[in-house]
Amino acid sequence: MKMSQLIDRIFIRLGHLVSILFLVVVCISFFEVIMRYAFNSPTIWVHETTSFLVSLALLFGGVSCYAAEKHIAMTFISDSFPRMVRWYTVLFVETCTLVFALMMAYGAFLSAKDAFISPFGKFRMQTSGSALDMPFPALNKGFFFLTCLMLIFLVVLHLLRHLSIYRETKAKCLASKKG
Amino acid sequence: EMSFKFASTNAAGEQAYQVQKEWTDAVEKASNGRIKIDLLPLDAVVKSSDLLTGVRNSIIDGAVSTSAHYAGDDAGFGLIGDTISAWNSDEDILKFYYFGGGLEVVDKIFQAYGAKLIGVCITGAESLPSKVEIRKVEDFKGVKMRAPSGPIHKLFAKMGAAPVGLPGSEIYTALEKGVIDAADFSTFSNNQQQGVHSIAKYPIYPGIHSSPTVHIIMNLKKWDALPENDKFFMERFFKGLALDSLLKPHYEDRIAYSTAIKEGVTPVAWSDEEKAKVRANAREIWAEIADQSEIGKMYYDALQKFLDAQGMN
Amino acid sequence: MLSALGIATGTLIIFMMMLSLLFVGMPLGFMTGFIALSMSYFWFGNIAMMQMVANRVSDFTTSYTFIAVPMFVLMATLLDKTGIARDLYNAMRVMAGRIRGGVAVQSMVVAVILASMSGIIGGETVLLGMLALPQMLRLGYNQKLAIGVVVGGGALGTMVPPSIVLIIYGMTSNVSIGDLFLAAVPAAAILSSMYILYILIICRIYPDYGPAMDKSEMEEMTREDMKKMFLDILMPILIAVWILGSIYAGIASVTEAACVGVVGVGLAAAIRGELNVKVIFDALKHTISTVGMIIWVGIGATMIIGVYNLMGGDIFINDLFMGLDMPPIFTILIMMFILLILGMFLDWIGVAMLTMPIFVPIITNLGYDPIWFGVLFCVNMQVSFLSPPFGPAAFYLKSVAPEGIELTDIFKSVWPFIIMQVITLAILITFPEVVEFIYK
Ligand code: NA
Ligand code: NA
Repeated sequence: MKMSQLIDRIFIRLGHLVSILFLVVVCISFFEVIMRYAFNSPTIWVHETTSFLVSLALLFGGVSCYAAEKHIAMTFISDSFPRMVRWYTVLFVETCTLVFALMMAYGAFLSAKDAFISPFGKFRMQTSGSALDMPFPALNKGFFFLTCLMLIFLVVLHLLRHLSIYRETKAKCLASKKG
Repeated sequence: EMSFKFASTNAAGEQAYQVQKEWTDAVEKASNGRIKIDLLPLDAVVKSSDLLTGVRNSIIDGAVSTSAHYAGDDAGFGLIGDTISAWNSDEDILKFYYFGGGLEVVDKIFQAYGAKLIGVCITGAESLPSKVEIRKVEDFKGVKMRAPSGPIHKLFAKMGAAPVGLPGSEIYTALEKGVIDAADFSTFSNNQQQGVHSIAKYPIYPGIHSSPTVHIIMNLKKWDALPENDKFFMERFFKGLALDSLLKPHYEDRIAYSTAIKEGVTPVAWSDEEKAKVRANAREIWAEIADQSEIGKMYYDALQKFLDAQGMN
Repeated sequence: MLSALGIATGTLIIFMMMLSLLFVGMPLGFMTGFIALSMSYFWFGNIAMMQMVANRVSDFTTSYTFIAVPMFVLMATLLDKTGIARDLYNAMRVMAGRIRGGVAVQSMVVAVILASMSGIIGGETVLLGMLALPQMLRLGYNQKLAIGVVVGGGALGTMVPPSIVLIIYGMTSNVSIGDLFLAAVPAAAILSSMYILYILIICRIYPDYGPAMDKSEMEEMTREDMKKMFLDILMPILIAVWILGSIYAGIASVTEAACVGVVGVGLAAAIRGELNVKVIFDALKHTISTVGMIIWVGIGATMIIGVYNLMGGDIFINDLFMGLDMPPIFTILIMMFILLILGMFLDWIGVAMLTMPIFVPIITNLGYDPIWFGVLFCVNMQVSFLSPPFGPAAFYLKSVAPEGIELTDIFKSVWPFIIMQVITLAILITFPEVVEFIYK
């Protein structure tokens, strides 16, 4: 119980750390604007790098938001279900989420594999093909796969936590029936 | 009866897409209902750069897209897809592929990647909308120029411009507000239709930098499973698309040209002398790519042979 | 393989799955993603299809225009944490004086100004949600009205040029983006003045919706108070000039301008002596948790669009118009209806990709003007941002709304604004001259 909440908190904290990337993005974008407007020498790296950094922050932000159980969901109907039904509903939703995370991880794995290994079985990283030609696409796809693994881990954690409150919920349910 | 899904990397409204769609739709009628191809526009399935992988993995059956999009998989695809400043006119591309041995070489390359090259078509040489008059290579000095792919970016940098790497969706507003002075956009008629010339009055036309080769590819296994007569039919059939894709933009460009002139647009045509300077710059870039990429080298050698034979070197 | 069932049945399956998973309260992003991935397997019978879905996610997270969203969140948090927002709204309240609903009207004006600085909806809605909503609630405004102003006003980001919706329409339909921008101006003017009129009227009918200042409170204002107020309002104006200036003077692109805006707000906070490490880190923390919430909805949407396209969604839409023999205006009305329905369930970019290649050639053949139709599309997408169950503007607001404001509260508040959007649509269909005069 305590342990799983601690793990959630670690992911949330890591998210706070990752958020510094946004500050980096502000700085380098401003730098690009100054370089282009004032000095007429635009950089070749800022636009691609900002997209890449933001994508990392977005993906990790998604994971840490799951850890914090902040969701955009319409729960007004399921909130009105009886306590026990609600327990099963949450179980169902978490199970679907796990299936979702597993499928997404599989897709992300295939996508990352192609980004790191050429059709001829050699290791190479997919690059952007631009003048900068950094391996951002490969890194992004690889990180997306990592994100999926983290998500699976957290969903399993939350699922176990939910299963562990079964008895408690049942007891409360009986108590409220008697009362 | 076979049904295939192909993806194009042209937007639905673009002429190039309409020509492609007309032909892919017509496959059904021409094959007497045996083969059906549904062509999806840009970004409907996966990003252009993921299309070759998508075709290899059977996510999509085929693609109508310039291989320049796959430059992230191998720099050579960048050269193959858009051999910057190589052609005197668009028909040179078709000559190279259909008579000069280009098709065989590039097909071999694609087959190594799990795709069959059925045929090629073109989108038409791109014109270059600019807010300032650029008549010669020196005029590029300091011009803030939006350029997308690696090779073109390098070409403009070599010629003294200041290339900016803005994404496609930002070009129009950036050009309008003056964040950039010029941008690679599309063909003259597409640019005219999208109103680009009303904000960039000095388009370089005929274009000097880019004329992408569009590769019609299909999943190799699915291709191999086709009966011989259908293979033959498909290869012949798509030569028709190649012809239309050559004529249509040129026809439309001339119409757009007259309208543009009436609207006070000043198209800038370059002298052969200046164009030769551009090609000299581009040549160095071709060689660089051939040095770093095996498939780039294969293509480069075939290209040199063609250019020599045609007296274009 | 479910594909044997045909695309019409497939559409119905997706629709039923969405409704039932929505019913049990599954988070929206996971729900759409779950459906997309399941369909990618069961429809095509090809497990490798999941790679396509994953590729789309990479594509979505790296899309350059999305950068503006976290930047606007950062800007909003800084404005909020430093007290610039609070002081601005106090001053605005005094300026509104005895006019009921005055602050809501001013917020709408702020929304229009913001809309001319951004081309997307997310950033603006988030900014207004953090800036205007808590302040309006603090000043005693009716919650529904305040939410409506924020969501309706925030959506204007794509109605007032620059607009990514119009840019994408222009690119998919090959019409002049400049003309589209021009044509959208009168439509945006109609829409926003209708919003303002509504605020004034509803606050006249229900005075407690938008309380005005007391007479006594106004008389108590000293010269000193007035001077402070002037300064409080000057700072935000300077920030607006800074951002607008960077766009319209050609210094920054629209997305870069969002970053430039963060720098501007940071400078303003520094001048006020309120900028410190804690404020910056609080703002960053808030930014990542906000976009973390939003990102799932975007990921889910991009997944389902890719799968639906590959399933043959375009064929489905096309078949709806096959052999249709009726007066042209009915065709337009049916198209509007389809767009409204699709807008309930899909992201606007999906709607555009799915319908524009089919609709635009049809209306052009019927002799209608594709620019005018583009404006209709844009207004239609205004509705889609607000309409449940998939209402992006509502999601964006939810991610920053004060505790206790649920998605259902937001959806309950938007309908007057949806009605006004539909009325605007009706006006534009009936009187095309309203937009056509400006560019013809
Ligand atoms: Na806007
Ligand atoms: Na909606």
